[in-house]
Amino acid sequence: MNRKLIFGIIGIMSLCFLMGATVWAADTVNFGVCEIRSGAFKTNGDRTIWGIEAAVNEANDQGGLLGKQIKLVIEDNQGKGEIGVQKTKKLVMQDNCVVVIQGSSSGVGGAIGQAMPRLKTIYLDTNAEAMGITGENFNPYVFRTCLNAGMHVKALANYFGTKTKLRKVFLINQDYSWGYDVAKYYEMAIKQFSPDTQIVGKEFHPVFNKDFAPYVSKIAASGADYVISGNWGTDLTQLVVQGRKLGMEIPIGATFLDDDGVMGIAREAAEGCIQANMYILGIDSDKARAFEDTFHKYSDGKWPSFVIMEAYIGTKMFIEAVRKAGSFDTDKVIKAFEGMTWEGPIGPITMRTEDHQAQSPAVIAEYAPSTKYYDFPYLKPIMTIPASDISVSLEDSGWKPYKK
Amino acid sequence: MDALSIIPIQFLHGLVYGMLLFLVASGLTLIFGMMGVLNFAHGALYMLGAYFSYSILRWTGQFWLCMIVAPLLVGAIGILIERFLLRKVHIHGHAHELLLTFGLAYIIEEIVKWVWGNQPLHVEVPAMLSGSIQFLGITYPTYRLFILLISVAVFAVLFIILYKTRAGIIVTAAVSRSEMVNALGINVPLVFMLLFGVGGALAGLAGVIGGPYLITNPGMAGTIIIDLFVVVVVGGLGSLPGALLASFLIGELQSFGILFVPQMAIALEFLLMAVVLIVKPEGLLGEKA
Repeated sequence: MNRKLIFGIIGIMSLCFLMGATVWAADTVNFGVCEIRSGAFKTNGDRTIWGIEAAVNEANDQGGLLGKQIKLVIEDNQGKGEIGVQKTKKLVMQDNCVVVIQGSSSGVGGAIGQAMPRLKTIYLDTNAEAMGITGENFNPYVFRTCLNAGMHVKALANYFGTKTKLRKVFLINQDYSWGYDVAKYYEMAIKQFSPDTQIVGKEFHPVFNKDFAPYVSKIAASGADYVISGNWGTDLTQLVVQGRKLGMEIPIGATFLDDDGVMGIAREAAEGCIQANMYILGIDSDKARAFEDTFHKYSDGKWPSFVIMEAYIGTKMFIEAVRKAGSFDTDKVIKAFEGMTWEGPIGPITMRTEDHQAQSPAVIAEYAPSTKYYDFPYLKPIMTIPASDISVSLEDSGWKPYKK
Repeated sequence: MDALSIIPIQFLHGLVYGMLLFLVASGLTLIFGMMGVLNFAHGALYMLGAYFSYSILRWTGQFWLCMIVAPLLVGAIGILIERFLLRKVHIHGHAHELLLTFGLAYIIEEIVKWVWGNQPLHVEVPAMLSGSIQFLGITYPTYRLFILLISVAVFAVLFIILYKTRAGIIVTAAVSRSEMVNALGINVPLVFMLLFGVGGALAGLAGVIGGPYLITNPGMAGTIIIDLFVVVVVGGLGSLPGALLASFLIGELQSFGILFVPQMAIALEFLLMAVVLIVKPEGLLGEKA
């Protein structure tokens, strides 16, 4: 074939493509999602995306955002930081995404967060809770809309310290940064709510630990009257189920028991456990019911629990910030997001200006044999805690101002 | 409970976990230890056993039926893998077998996720196994004792077949002196295929038993496979009593490691392997090559 002809065809094709892209860009705006789409943690990635999708469906249904329909561009970070950064660059530079959303891994979140100043785009952390992301590694392009480790365990310390007489705690956590954050901040939090609480044991076990029996007998031997654990996934299920079967009847205070995947297996074994999060299904108020029902409507019949709920709230808050800014321009959205208050299902959530860490109230829930949400036992809320009572100061968060 | 009375309980925990490990590793002892096939898909076969069991239980409600049907199914898959895949690459040596079974492990994992989903599954064991019993002043889950019982039974049956029957003699001979046995008119490839099937069936049985305890989930193969190779290497290639001893030691090291040196517990198993490989490279009860 004639070389000129080939160049001509390529030229026309690229022109068509460019024009197509411009026409398209006129009425849509891209949100990037860099989540885990493969491997053992895929369930968390799925749930994060369900939350994001519901918020986007809702906004699009109500006329879009600044006159544009939101389109999600989803990439697989494979649970690895460096791949997350690669895919984030692609989302920003190739797909022109105005935001990159990620939540189901703190490791990936930290890596994406640190890549953002160069990309000059916002990283919205909807559910990764490691302190460092808005703490010592803070930069102005990162916004976290969920609780961080410190706030999450402070809600538990508040409950056990003020609502119960239990004063001997055993801390059992996974052997990596998240588990250490949970233990460290729980120790700090009990000093505030119940200084007479004794830490009778502190263990860190490998992630995906198989047999919990040796830990359970250590807990029993320690004389603990309750347990605190930041475990997630099978590590939480195993701790709860094996613990109960071995006769451990003391309460376990958990941060991820609202995962329907965990409760679907733990079931009756979770009786006596306590869970804290920024929202837990079943709050008895019009606002909370409206929150749940709206999500239900826009998510094809799912319920906003666990990271689904966090991703939903986070995406809604970002959309609100763009509306407030009246622009997709990164600097304008940052200005609008800082200090913004969004009306959450149990009260206002405020984005703290200095470290971009959302200040949210929290819910404490206990075991419920039956709920309308799932066909296995789940949880029911027993109290709410105002944002000010679980807030962790900038200093305690290890926050450092951003230096270019 | 004081610090002293915890020791027998910790011993029991270690024993049970060690025996569960033996149950999963017993099939690999045959396949890797005796036949010399580096079967990285053994963990995946174990996982298939757990998932088959889940489905059979859902359809029939009979856990005991799972213990028969699931191992047969996994054993059949093992036979197919040997006949149509491994036999073709066997002449190229270990590296090819390793790559093939490594790939198979991934494929099986993806198929499991595709068929059963990513969610961990809830497997209801019979009521008589799901409770706890009281003895020596402690509460102990019946299911853990059941694991112990099955593992000991599997060991006894395998031991008698391998070391005390004519079939066992043929198998051991076919493995170590295959040309000679072939010349005597025994179909060695058939023996290999059946041995692989038995190894697969044992993995399947381990899946049925282990699934409800370690939670049936798509990650269960990956988290156990390294432990299995450690058991076979430490015990001595092809030695069934060796695998039993190694599993027991690893279970106890883990259990007492958590009690006394928790930060080191996970490393003790590999420390044991390093020491064994330095002092007695053929494994605890392995024969010198």
